[in-house]
Amino acid sequence: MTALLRNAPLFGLLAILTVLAIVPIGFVVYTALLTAPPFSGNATEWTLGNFAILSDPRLRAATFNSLVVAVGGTLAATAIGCSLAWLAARTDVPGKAFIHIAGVLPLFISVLVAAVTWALLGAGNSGYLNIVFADLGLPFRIDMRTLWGFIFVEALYHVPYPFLFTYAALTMITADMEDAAAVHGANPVQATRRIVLPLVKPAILGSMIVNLVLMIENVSVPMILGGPIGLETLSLRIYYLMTRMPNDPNAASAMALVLAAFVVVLIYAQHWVLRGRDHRTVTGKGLNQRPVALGPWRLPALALVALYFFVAIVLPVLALLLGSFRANLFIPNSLAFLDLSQMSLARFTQVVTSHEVRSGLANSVIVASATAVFGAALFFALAYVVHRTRLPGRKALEYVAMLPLAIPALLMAMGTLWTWIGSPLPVYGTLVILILAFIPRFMPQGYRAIASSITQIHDDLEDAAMICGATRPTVIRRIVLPLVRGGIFATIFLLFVLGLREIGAALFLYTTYTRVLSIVLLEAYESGLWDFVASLSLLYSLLLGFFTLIGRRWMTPVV
Amino acid sequence: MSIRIASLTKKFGAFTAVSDVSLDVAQGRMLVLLGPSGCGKTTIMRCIAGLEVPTSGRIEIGGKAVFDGEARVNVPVNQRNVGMVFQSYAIWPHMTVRENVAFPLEMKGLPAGEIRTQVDEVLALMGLSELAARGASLLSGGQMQRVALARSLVMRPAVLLFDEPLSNLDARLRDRLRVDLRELQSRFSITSVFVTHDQQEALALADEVAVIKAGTVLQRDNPVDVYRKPKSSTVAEFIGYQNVFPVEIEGSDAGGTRFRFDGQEPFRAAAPPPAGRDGIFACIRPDDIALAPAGEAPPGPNSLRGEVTLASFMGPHMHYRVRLHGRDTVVEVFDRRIEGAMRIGSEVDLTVPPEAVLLLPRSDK
Repeated sequence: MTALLRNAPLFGLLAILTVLAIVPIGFVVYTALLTAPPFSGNATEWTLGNFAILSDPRLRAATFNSLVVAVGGTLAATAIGCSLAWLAARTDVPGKAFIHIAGVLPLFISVLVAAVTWALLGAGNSGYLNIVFADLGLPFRIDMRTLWGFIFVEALYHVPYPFLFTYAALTMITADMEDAAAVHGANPVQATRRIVLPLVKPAILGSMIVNLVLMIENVSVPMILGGPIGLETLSLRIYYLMTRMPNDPNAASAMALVLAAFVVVLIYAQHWVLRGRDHRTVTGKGLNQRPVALGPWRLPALALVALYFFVAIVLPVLALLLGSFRANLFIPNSLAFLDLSQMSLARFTQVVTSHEVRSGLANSVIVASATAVFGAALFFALAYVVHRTRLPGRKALEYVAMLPLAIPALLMAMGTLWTWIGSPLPVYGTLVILILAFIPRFMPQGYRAIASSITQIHDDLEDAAMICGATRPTVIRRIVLPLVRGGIFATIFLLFVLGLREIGAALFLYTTYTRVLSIVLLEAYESGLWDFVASLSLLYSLLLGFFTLIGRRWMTPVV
Repeated sequence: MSIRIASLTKKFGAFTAVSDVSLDVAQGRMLVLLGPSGCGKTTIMRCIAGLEVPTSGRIEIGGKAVFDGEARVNVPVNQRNVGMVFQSYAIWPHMTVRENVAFPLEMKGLPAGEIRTQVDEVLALMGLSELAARGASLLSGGQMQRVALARSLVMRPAVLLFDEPLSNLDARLRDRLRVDLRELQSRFSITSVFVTHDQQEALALADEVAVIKAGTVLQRDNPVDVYRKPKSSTVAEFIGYQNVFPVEIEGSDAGGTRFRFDGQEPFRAAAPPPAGRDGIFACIRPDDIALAPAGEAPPGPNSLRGEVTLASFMGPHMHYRVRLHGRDTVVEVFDRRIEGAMRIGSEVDLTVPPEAVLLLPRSDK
């Protein structure tokens, strides 16, 4: 066997990753340094002038807004998520299954739908909640079209990351560790502060980084809530520079690099905080955990969880039901909410059976399924080569696989656009380009999920099969695949739901015939079709909620 | 089939796990590689199996090279026909006992009927017939161990490798399986290599023992010689000589060798003096030292007085730790007298028969 043949899987994977991730990023860097976008036909030369936009006062305001929203939203989401995780993992609060659903479900509610719904609930005096407040004679109103509104929506729907990360870490701490602290003289508060908190700190910090990145790169919240009144963030500025005339893709690229720089700094900060720590201190099965007795606080604690669930899930669903089924959108007062004579299924039926929605749904399902299946196959190959072979350069594969974590979705979408628009392969304008953008977008999550199931298989199981005469492909087919089957199904499911939900990576890549559901929704919102938006949001949420609930059992450990 | 290993070296980056090791095992014999964890014994075995690619050297099985660094021969692991029992057992949890055992025969492409007969035979031999249809994840440790052995035996391997297969079992089961293993191995006369860090296990199982440290073979002998005639104090320490003291050689006469330790009055060993005079250690087994209450017998040669600092009942004997008066040395003593045992703080006289003292250099390497 020649060295070339032996390393073929490595070269193959490197080539795929290069096309999917490295070339697109390269194109954005390239564009940021040019005077005209690639393949535009215009004469072009090198310049640093695109970065001059950094001195634009509008951009500075947008950057400030981005930071305020991301930091505020992350702190709030972390506080809620960690509290839910602690209640569910370590206390005797009733209804733990409910807390778990409350902690996970918002993950799969599209932030786009959430923003639309909260615009419906709390933008201006016609917001449903403000109508209720007025009728109740309450002196205050809420306004979602402010930075507070941005923070509120971002925080509410990014609770699942701190919840899941912290929950997993908390359940891994064995009662022994706390018992040992007690034996050595710590009271419960000291044991929590000195033993439990340090052990879950990496998980909490990890979730904070994820949330900061997601909130910084998010476009839908500022576009829906801030767009109409000109309240912008950095990500929205980039989106406008790409799509609104007069557009400036070169400046957008320069700004996307600035955005990526923020993220890289954050990730390095996280590594710095956790430097020299062994993350594997948290191991074991969490056997014999004794829940903390809440005593009289059991019901109030549950009530607070219920309040979160009501605000994050129930209120929006009610608002969407109202928006979808009320024939007349004008609502004079609270009593009108209950006016059944105004209710009709006609509009909802009309919307969900419309050609746009049906083709958007079909496109979404095709793109999400293809992303899930091809993505899982690629991520399995990557994880197997990285963790189970000694091919040189396998560490580089892992590095590239995790790279998209530091790259904002907008930037990836721009790069993917330029990668394929100039390629001889007729990919642009088809659903294929969306799949090619979605797979690298979800690569870090998918790769990590499959890698963790592969590393749970003891090396000896594969070695034993080789010793019994099996070749490497036979080992994979007969031993590895059957053993990681559960993990792979979970990953396919996760990728499918993420693919259905995704909007950022689709932004610049769709055409009239390749709009996915999230894009149909966004365009309808921009055209001001409120009843259409409400009906479609309801359909979209039902779809995501359905898949989330049936897949919850498999997906929670890998997110 | 025989195994021959010549100048085997295996490096992991800058770390040399195995350094220029040469060993051979004759047909049907069992070689035990004995050494502390991280000494390279498992790496040697994985090189024989083909799970590690040596950095250099040559490995032959049955006279045929399976690895040769110079001739660039490297038979892949799945074509070496080597059986191996792993420390973790490596029983495939998604298969039944029968499927586990049938796997190597399937890989050989045997017809289904043939596989069935051979598997039944081995399962019966190992007392596993009743468990054939059971899922492998539902087995106890001892059962998994037997399935692992059955899986290796069924392939009629050229050589059989054992990677500390008994270390995850409880003491009683370990004793029983050790005997069973020895019986099976000699009955089928399969050339075997067994890796362990347990000296008792090594002596009980081996035709030959190779004591390994830091990637090199310190001594290779039959178990009785390794036990009685260690060639260095390093090997002696590993094989149960718990008292190892640095000494200065004074000289020799008809009665043997005179030496000092801790700079005190001379001591005697029956053996003639070793080749070198520097870096010599006196090695004494704890059960060779006689212990009596202080002043009970008149002080003779090789007699020492000290105070008991530990007294621990071990079953067949008492374990004492004695701090010698006027010296820095602490001596471990096993004494068979259980009645009237010493207490902590008692004054005792120790007598070391000159025949029980080995004077050895630290090690060749």
